[in-house]
Amino acid sequence: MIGEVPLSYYLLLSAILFAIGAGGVLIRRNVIIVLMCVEMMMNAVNLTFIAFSRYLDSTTGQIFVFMIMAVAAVEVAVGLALLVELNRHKASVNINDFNSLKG
Amino acid sequence: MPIDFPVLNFQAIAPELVVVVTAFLVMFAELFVDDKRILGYISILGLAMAAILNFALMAAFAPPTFQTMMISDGYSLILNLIFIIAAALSILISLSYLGDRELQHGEYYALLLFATVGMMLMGAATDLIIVFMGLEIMSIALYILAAFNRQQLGSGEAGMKYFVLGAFASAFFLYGVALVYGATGSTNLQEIGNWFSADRGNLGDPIALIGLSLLLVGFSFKIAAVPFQWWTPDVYQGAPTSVTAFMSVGAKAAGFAALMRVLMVSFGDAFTADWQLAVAVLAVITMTVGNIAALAQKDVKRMLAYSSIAHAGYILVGVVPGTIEGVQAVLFYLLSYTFMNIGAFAVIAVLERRSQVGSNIKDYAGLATRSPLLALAMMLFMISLTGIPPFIGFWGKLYVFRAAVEANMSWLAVVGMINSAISAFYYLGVVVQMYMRPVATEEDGDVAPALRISAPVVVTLVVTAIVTILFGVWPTPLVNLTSLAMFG
Amino acid sequence: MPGQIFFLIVAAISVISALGVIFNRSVVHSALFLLVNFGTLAVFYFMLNAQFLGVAQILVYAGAIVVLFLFVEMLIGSDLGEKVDTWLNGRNLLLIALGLVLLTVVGTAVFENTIFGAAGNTTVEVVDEFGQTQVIAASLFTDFVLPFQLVAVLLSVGVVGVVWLAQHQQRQRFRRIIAVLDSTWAEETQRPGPDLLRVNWLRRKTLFDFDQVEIIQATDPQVAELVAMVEHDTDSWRRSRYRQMRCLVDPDCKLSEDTVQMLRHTFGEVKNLVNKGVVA
Repeated sequence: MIGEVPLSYYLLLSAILFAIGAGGVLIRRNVIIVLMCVEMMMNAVNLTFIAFSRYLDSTTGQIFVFMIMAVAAVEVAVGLALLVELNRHKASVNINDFNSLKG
Repeated sequence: MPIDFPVLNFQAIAPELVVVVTAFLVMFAELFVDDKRILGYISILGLAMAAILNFALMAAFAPPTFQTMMISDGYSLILNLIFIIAAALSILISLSYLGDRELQHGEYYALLLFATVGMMLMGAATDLIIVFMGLEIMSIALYILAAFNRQQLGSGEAGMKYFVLGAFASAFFLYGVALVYGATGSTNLQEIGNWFSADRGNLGDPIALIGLSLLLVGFSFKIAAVPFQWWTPDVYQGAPTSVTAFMSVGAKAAGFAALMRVLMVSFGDAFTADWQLAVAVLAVITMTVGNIAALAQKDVKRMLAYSSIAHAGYILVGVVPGTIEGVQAVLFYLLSYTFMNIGAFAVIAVLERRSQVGSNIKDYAGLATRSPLLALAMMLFMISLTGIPPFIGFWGKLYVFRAAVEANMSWLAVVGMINSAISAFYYLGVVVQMYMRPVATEEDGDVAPALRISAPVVVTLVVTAIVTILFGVWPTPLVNLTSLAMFG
Repeated sequence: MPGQIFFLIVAAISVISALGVIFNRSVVHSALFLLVNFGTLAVFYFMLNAQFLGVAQILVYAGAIVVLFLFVEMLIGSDLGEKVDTWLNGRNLLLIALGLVLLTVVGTAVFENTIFGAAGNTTVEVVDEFGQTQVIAASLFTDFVLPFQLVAVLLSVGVVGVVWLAQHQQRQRFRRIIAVLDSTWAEETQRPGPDLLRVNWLRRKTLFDFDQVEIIQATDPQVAELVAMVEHDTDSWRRSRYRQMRCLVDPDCKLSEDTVQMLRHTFGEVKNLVNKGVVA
C-alpha cells in the first residue's frame, strides 16, 4: 500500500491531529480532558515520526516513538496522581478552580 | 540480523552515573535511616564525588560515547558544575526547610538527584533523543517536587500547572524534533548540522524551519521566556522554596544548555540569520515583560519569579550573536546567577511562614534590626541581581552585553541596560523594606515568627555571599573557567 | 487507489474521534473517543510497516493509558459537565483562528512532498528478511542503548513520584489531638468535633502524639513536669515536631515568667488562649 499513499497525506493528517489536540488543551478546562489532548498531540507526533521513518528507510524514528510511548505513560501516571492528590484538597477537575496562587 | 555490540565508554558519563547511583542509594537508605537528614548529606556526598569526577574529566576530555549520543566537552562539564552546585546548595536549604514542614523524606532527595541527572543529560546530549529523555527526566521529577508539600493546596496547584504546561511544551518540542528528523534523516545534532548545505538546496527547507521554530517554542517554555512564561509565577510561588531555588537556576540552565547546543551545532552557520531575529525579539520582550510585571508584586517569591523571567531575557541576549564568546558569557551568567539567586531563596526560606504559601514582602520589614546579618546578605544578593558593581551579577551582565556589542547588536545591549535600571526598583524595594521600615509589632496584629536559622542554611548563605563578593571583585578565575567551554 | 481510499476513510475516523474527545461533555465518552483515535493510529502504523509499534500502540495507549484515564475518572468521580457556551467564547475563537493559521503554515510546508532527509538502510527488503522486531531490537540495543537505559531512570522517577503523591498520609489529614492541662476538668478525653480530640494530660501524665498544647488551669510544677517529659522524649518523630507546635496559655492561669520562658523554649509558638471554650 505504501506506493499508493503519499507521505504528505500522513504528514497533513498528523498536523491536523496535532492542531486538534493543541486546541483542546487551550479550550477545555477539565484537567482529565486536557491530559487526553496532550496524549493526542504526542500521538500525532508519533505518526509523523513513523511516516518519516518509513519513507526514509531509517529506524531512528521508530525508536523515538518507542521512547515517546514510555514517556507518555509516565506523564499520564504522574499527571493523574497529581490530580488525585489535588482532589483531596478540592473536589474539582476544573483548571480554573485551582486559583489559590495570586500575585 | 548480525549485530555488532558497540564498545561503550562509561568514563565520559561518569558524573551522571554517580548521581544516578546516589539517587538509588538514597532510596535504599531511606528504609533503614530514621533521621532523614542523613539522606540529604548522602546526596551532597554523591554530588561532591560527581564534581570531583567532573574536574578530572575537565583535565582530560573523554571522547564521545554511546554512538555519539553524548559527549563530555568543556561546555557540558561547566554546565555539570552549575547543576551540581545548584543541587547541593538547594539540598542544604532543604534540610531545615523540609524538617520544619514535616516533609523530611528520602523521596525528596532522590527526585532532586534525578532531576539533576536530567539536567546533566541535557547539557551533554549530542542527539535530540537524549535531549528529550533528559528534558523529561528533569521535568517529571520537578513536577513532583513542585507538588511535594502534600499538606498545602498551593503546592499541588503549582505542580499541576507546571505539569500541564510542561507536557504541552514537550509535545511542541517533539513535533519540532519530528520535522527536523524528516528534513535531515537524523536526530544527531552534528549530522543534522552537516546535512544542510547549499549543494543539496535544502537551506531554506520549510520543514526544517518549522521544526526549528517548534523546538524554540519547546525550549522557551523551559527557560520561561515570554510569551511562554505564564506558569512561572504560580509555580515559583506555590512550590516549596527549596525546590523553587533549584528549578529557578537548574531548569533554566538546562534549557539554555540544550537550546544553545541545538542552535549552534545543528542550526549554526547557514541558519544563524534565520533564528537570530527570533531570539533577539524573544530576549527583548522577555526582559521587558519580566521586569515590568515584577514591579507590581507583593510576594517576594513571585517577584523573584518575574525577575527570573527577566534574567532569562538577559541571558538570551548572549545567545543571539551565535558566537562561542556569547556562549561563554551565557555560562558565566548562569554560574553567577546560580549563586546569587539560591542565596536570595535561602533568605526567603528562613523568613517564610510555615502555614503560608509564598512570602509576603511585609515580613521583611525591619529585618535589619531583627537580624542584621541576614538583612545584609539579602541586600547583597539583591544588589548583585540588579547588576551593580562590584558584585558578580555585574560581570555576568557585562559579558553578555559585550558579546552582543561585538556582534554588532548594540541596540540589544542598550535595551538590556535600560531593563537593568528598571529592575533596580523592585530589588531595592526589598532593601528599603528591610532597612527603612519598622518591625511589625503586636499593635499591627501580626507578628512575624521568631527567626531560626539552621547551620546548613548558614553554610549556604556564607558560600553564596562569599562567591558573590569574591568573584565580583576578582572575576578572572571564573572567566578562565568558562572560557574552557567549547563544543567538542 | 484502494489504498488511498482506505487511508482516507481511516483518517476521517481518526479526525472525527479526535474532535469527539474535545467536543464532548462526558469524560467517559471522551475517553472512548480517545480509544478510537489511538486505534486508528495503530492501523496507520501497520500500513507504514511498523507492526511492532502498532502492537505497542494498542497495548500501551489503549490497554494502559485509556484504562488509567477511566480509572481515575471513576475514582474522583467528577464528571463535570462543562456547558458549551463556557468554552465557545471570544478568547477561544481567537485561539482556534490562531491554530488554523498555524495549521495552514505547517500543512503547506509538509505538503510539498519534497523530502530532503538522508535515507537510512532499513529498507523494506531488510525488514522482510529479518522481521520488524529484530530490526528494532538490533537498533535499540546497539545505537540507542543509552536512551533505552534512560527509560529505566525515567520510570523510576515516575514510580517514586506517583507513590509519593498518591500515598495516603500516615495520619488522617484533619485529625488533631490536643493535650489539655486543666485541673478543673475531670474527664479523661473529650471529642468536640469529628476531627478533634482533647486529652486531659493531668490525668494521663504520659506523652502521646499530640498536635497542640492548651494550658487552661495548671500550676507551675505541673507545667514543668510536662516540659521535662517533652524534653526527654525519645521518639524521634515526636521530637521533630515540638519545635513547631503551638502552645496556648490561658491568661487567667497566672503562670510565672520562668515557666512561660521554658514553654517558649520547648514549643514553637506560645500564645494567649483567646475565645475560650470555642473549638478552633
